[in-house]
Amino acid sequence: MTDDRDPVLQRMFDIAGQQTYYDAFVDDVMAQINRKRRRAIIAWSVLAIALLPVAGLVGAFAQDVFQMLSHVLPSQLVESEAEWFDRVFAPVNTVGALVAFAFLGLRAAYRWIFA
Amino acid sequence: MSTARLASDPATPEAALVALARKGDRAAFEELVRRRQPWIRNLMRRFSGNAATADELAQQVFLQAWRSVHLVRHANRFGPWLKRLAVNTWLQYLRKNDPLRDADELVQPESPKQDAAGVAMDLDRALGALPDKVRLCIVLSYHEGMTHDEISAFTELPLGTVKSHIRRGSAQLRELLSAYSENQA
Repeated sequence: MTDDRDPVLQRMFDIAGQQTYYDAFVDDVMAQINRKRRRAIIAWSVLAIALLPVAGLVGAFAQDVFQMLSHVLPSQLVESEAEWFDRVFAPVNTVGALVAFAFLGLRAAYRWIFA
Repeated sequence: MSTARLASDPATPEAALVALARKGDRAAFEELVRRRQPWIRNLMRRFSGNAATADELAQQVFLQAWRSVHLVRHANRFGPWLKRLAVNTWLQYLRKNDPLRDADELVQPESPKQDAAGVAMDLDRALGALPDKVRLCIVLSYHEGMTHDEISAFTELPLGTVKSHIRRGSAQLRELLSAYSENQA
């Protein structure tokens, strides 16, 4: 069968598909968009206000964690006597690199399983 | 010309409106909705067979389009991108609902209607009698003018299946709308 279409049906589709313009439809769509935008702004504002006291409470703890991470992440995984080894593998021979590879591996596995 | 005037100017090319909408320009998007709404509403009408459901689904399509218009890679391919959104919205609706819950009851027309609204009603009723996938292929072929290959690529159905759906669907529609064929003969 080719892509030929039945002429009677085609004519019916053409007639039925004559453009019907409906102004209120555009207004409805834009009103919904504006409503959703307002809701999003309110939701983010409420969230930000709610998080302010939380930030005050956990601020000092978060700072300690960041400080610890900044010490731990760049530290070497494998210590070597050879200077060339340290230089060549410097970008991947850190705790940070290990964490990054673990994250990428988990993400790839997740995508492979749930894709 | 200011972007506000550009967005509301009917002569502004669609690609320019898409480029503005991608940056969050609501006036440009409103103009896109204005231009594309008859097409999308008609497409949804052919799919669902019900004007109210069709408008509700068409609104969903445009809301989704607003949320993801920044993902449109080629501004001049907005039409096909919107069609893809429309078909996905319809398929999603099919998964969650009885697609013909609101469709008009099928009554084989005894005589062909002369006005566009009457023809549309008869056609939608007849389309409502077709299985979901057959209707999808028929609408994409007749309403959208897509080739079998394009429909196959678009719906991810095998080409042979698309051909058989269209052949079977056309035969069924011809039978249901025989009053129109007889009138033409």
